[in-house]
Amino acid sequence: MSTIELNRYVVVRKQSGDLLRLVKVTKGAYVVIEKLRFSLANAIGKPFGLFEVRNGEIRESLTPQAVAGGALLGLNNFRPQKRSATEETGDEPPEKVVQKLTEEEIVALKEEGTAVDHLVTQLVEGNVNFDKRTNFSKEKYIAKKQKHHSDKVFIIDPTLRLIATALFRRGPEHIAYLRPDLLAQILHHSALIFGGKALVYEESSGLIAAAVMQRFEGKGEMYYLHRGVSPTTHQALHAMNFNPLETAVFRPIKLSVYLDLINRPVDTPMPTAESELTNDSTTHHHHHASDNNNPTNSHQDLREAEIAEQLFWIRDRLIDSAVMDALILAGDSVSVAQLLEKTYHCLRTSGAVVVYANIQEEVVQVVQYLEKQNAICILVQEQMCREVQVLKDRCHPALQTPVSGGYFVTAYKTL
Amino acid sequence: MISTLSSSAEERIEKASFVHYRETVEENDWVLVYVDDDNIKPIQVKRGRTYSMKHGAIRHDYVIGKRYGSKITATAGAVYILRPNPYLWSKALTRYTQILYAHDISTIVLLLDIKPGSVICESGTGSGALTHALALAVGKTGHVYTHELNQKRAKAVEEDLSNHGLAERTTCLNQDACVDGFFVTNACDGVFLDLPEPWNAVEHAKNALSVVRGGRLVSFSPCIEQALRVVEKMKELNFQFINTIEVVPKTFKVQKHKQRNLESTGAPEAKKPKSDSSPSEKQEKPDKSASTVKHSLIPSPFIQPTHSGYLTSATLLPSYSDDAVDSEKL
Repeated sequence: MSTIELNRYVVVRKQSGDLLRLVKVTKGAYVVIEKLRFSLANAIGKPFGLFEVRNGEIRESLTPQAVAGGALLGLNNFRPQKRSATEETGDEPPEKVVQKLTEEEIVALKEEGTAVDHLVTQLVEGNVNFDKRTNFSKEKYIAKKQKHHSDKVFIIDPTLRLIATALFRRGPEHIAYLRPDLLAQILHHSALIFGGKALVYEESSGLIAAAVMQRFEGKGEMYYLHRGVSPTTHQALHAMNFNPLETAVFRPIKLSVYLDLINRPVDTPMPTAESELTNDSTTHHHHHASDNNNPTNSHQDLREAEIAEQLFWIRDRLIDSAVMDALILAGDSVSVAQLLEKTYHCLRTSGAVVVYANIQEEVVQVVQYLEKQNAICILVQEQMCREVQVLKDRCHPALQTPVSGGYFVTAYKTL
Repeated sequence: MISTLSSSAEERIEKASFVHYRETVEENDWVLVYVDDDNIKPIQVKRGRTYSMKHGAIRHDYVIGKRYGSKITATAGAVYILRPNPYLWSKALTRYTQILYAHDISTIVLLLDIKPGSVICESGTGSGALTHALALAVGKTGHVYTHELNQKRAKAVEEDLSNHGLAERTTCLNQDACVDGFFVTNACDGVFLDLPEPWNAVEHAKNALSVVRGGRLVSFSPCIEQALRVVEKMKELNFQFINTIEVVPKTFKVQKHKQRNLESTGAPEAKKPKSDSSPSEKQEKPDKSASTVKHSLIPSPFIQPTHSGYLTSATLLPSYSDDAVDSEKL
């Protein structure tokens, strides 16, 4: 049975909300989600699932069965006992909402540790115009109050899907608008498997690297071109909670180091040490001394590699050989079309090219390059992922949907 | 020769497959012959055989020893030999039923939270397009149990999976999941339903999922009425995070536009057909005084699929009540 552990990531979501929070479990970690703020300390060691939160702390672990199927409790649970069934008065909402319960009284009730159901009953009783609402309107009112004051949260083991969704909702511009369904397409088209080899460049917080690393199951080689790898810039990669066996496939290569070697005139000898690199590509290699002392720190397996190692990887796999099963280039801060030209030679014949970008000009250039190289099965695609409300007598596509998302191009290399 | 398997001698004798990539084609490999974007055909390479298609005939002997990705010239044109993968396979396979397309297949794999080691149940199998993708995603240690009502189809997909090196990680069953349930109970991490009446399989799906680990349920239905009944059943059976989406793709081609330069007073060049989609820019000498060349992405073809089905997904949370069966070890 999986339990919530220190120094691992979890996904938090309110019971009656759909926002996801990606949080690293540390002793002092606080979660703020839809106006609910609480500490994770009491959850450490407990199994994943539903928890009650009161006064900023995790209280009890609740099984799904304990909360009436997880669905919102029915209208009858909130009707004050004294009143009789009310009449329907039509659909107009009340002109003026008058709530007898004051803000201070609400806060006091919560601090006493009142269960949210009781609090909402108080709010219903305190609302002067509640009885004038239609049943439908009453349900909406109760649902809204419950959602606002809800103090039950799910703490879930992260999956690629949850991490991708959390990051996209939080700030799509920070991950090159890589929507989860687009990430799924990139993974599908790359057709990577156990023992595979891939060259990856991305600007999506490590989402693509995470997807590839998961597929490799600890055997294979992922050459990861980057401009800095840290838990902040690659949160997705860290949030997957990979173990050292799985991260063994990670071979990060600084983009500037790769370009230094690939842009050299043909006759120039290949460098084998940092001293031989040009000034432009000299990297500042930070030694994470504190990480070395902390055995539980997952940063250790996902940090930048020594220059000598990077040079070895480039010479061994990325200069004169064509052994990559897939080339995945995603982002807008560098020209992926240019990067494709500088990496295409690494790809084996019948290997897959997958390029993702938001810039249409880049996509055009990528297609033109691939056609020049006689690549086949060239596909240029974008897609919309729409949420659909499915409720009895009220089915319709969501009125609003996140529509951000780039283009992807896939093709196969020929001889 | 760089292979995706380890260097152990036993693994070398395995034929190339979906899970064993090799550089060159060997006899008995199942390869895909790319004739054009709409004509991709699977063949098993055997000495002495010939493959005939619109460009002519190709002798298999000639393909053996060639690198994957090689161009093979036939009488009236050329083809390419490709290594199969789930995407190309779904373009090539014989369609017994309406198949799922890549945009749905890839989303389904993500929605099921599949990772190496996952155990997945699928019903119905159909043409096996999704089954291949699931088999790849569950990895060496995972398993896919796929259930199909039609015996002929079940057998055909079983054969395909075996040819593609996926037999060990898949089990094809000829059974009606709505009536008889799934082959395993209290064992899966995910269940996928592509059935005419999936609401009849939701309870069986719940029983198939592991009680201690919980799992994911994903259902694909073309009609909203079907999705509604599935959602209601999921709610009734205590599934959480129920969500329905649809994925609508749009494919493009690169279109070249030659625009008359309005700053110029020179006569415009002789007209070329506007729908000139020749890709290469090399032949064009940009005439700065009269016209400029621009490129855009144009949706192509003109009419595209805009609806395949609704994907409803939900989670069955791990259960820790006293009567939970404790036999499943993680």
